[in-house]
Amino acid sequence: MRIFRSDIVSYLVAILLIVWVVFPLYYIVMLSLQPSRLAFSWPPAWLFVPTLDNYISVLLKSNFILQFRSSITVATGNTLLSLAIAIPSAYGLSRFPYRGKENISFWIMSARMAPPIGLAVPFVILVRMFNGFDNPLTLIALYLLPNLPIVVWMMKSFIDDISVDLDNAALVDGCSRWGALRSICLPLALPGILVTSLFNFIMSINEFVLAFVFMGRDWSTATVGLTGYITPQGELWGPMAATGTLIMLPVLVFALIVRKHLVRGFLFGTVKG
Amino acid sequence: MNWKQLADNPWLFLIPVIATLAVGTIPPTVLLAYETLVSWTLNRPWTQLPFVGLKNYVDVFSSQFTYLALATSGIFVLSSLAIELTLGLGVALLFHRMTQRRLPGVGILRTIFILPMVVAPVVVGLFWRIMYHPTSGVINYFLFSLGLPTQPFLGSTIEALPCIILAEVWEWTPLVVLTMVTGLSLLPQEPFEAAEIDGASSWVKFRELTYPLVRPLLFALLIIRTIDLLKWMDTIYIMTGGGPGTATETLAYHIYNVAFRAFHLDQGGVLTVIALVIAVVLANLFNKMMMRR
Repeated sequence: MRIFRSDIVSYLVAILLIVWVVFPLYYIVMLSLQPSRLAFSWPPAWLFVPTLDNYISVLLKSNFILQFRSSITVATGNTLLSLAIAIPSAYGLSRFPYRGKENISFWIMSARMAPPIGLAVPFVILVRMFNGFDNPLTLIALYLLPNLPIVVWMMKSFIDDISVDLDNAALVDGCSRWGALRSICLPLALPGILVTSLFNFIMSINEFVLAFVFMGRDWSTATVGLTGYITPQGELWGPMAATGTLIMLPVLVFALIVRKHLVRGFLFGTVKG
Repeated sequence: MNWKQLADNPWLFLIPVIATLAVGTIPPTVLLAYETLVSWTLNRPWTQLPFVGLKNYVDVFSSQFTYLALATSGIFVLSSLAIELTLGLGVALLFHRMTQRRLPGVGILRTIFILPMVVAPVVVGLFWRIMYHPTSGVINYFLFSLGLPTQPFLGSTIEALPCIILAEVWEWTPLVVLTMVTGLSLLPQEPFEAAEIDGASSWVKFRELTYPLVRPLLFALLIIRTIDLLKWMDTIYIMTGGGPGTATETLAYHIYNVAFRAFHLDQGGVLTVIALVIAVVLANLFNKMMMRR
């Protein structure tokens, strides 16, 4: 293959882009491994003997473990609930020609249009009515509003990939539509269901605003806990960086597992890549 | 009609989602409307609030902070969109070219580009807050090493908003890149080959072939990103808290300040109505533009 000068330029630009994307991630992990006396040094200490002190202090002396457990509880509960609700509807949207399908789509999407902080304004009354402050069930339910629209369209795009002929064969054999969904589509869509679940899980772990408003001492989540490090008295970069890294790592691992389908989620299934 | 036909009614499949979203959106919307018409600060029980008519709307629309927040949101949304979409499309064209030339490494690039958008926004805010630190931050260290003057960044009313926009661009440009790379790879090859034979320049090929073909995708991105940017407050909360002064107080952040820090939930409700109307109008408008050719 002939190598053009423009190929070399492409690679140079690509390397710059990699540095631009990776540097903040690298820098935060580096800070989390730095001995605390080096945190504010000038020039920054690029080389040092890494230590786990910051992680030990975060895990033992802060509420991180409690808050992370809360994040996981809420994310798991919400993921199960939203998949259970979304799968039949995704099947329906994939297989049936509804009258007014455009309007249904727009309406489902519109659940995502209000800013979460604005949503919190009327929900203050509803949450108080049901005694839902500092209760993980509140977040499990509230996260349906931003997550469900994405999950429905993502699942629909996975079910679209399964041939209608298989459904029809099942129907000819005397299956009901629900039977076809259960015995044909569910097993074939399993990889899609897993990808969608992980996507929903990531979105729930990352959420901040609603958890910040509605959770209190016992069920505050890890993202809310992170903001607790910012005080007028000053900030401890080491533990902050360690907490940030601990929140980020599991999510990055999940994201790499579903990397081929991530864009599908962010774009509501309009792009399959 | 027998039982099986009834159970297989297509609408039955939609009931779970429709019911959930109806319960999740209709009562809050009614309550929101009610809240904007009463006088409500957080210490009163919500059933005994005095009705004040349109007073909250008058208060909100006569406050200069409302317009300030709208202007800040406008700058934030427009600049972020402009940078993300142009930069994202540019990088996607580069990746696409590398794929077409069968240069190795595009797969790794695409994997790396996934990372920023899945990191929790508050964690992204944390990265940038630390890097922008005025005296010990690594960005100022780089400026200093290059012999440039160091900057106050988040401490400056002029620089704070661009700094937040840059963090936003870091997190979300990859979404545009990955979407457009996928979109470009699905384009039919024949028109491009024909244009090649006719000796069309790259710019003409882009304007006449690439752009019209990827236009629907660009509009889909435009709708999704506009709605998300209008709602944004996570990184702002951790980076500046809306400050210094009101320099980074977007509409969403203004709702937080009014409703949950000044405890004027009634006026916060009015601001939420404004935010909702803007989002719905823009989404509809872009949708219409996308349909029209």
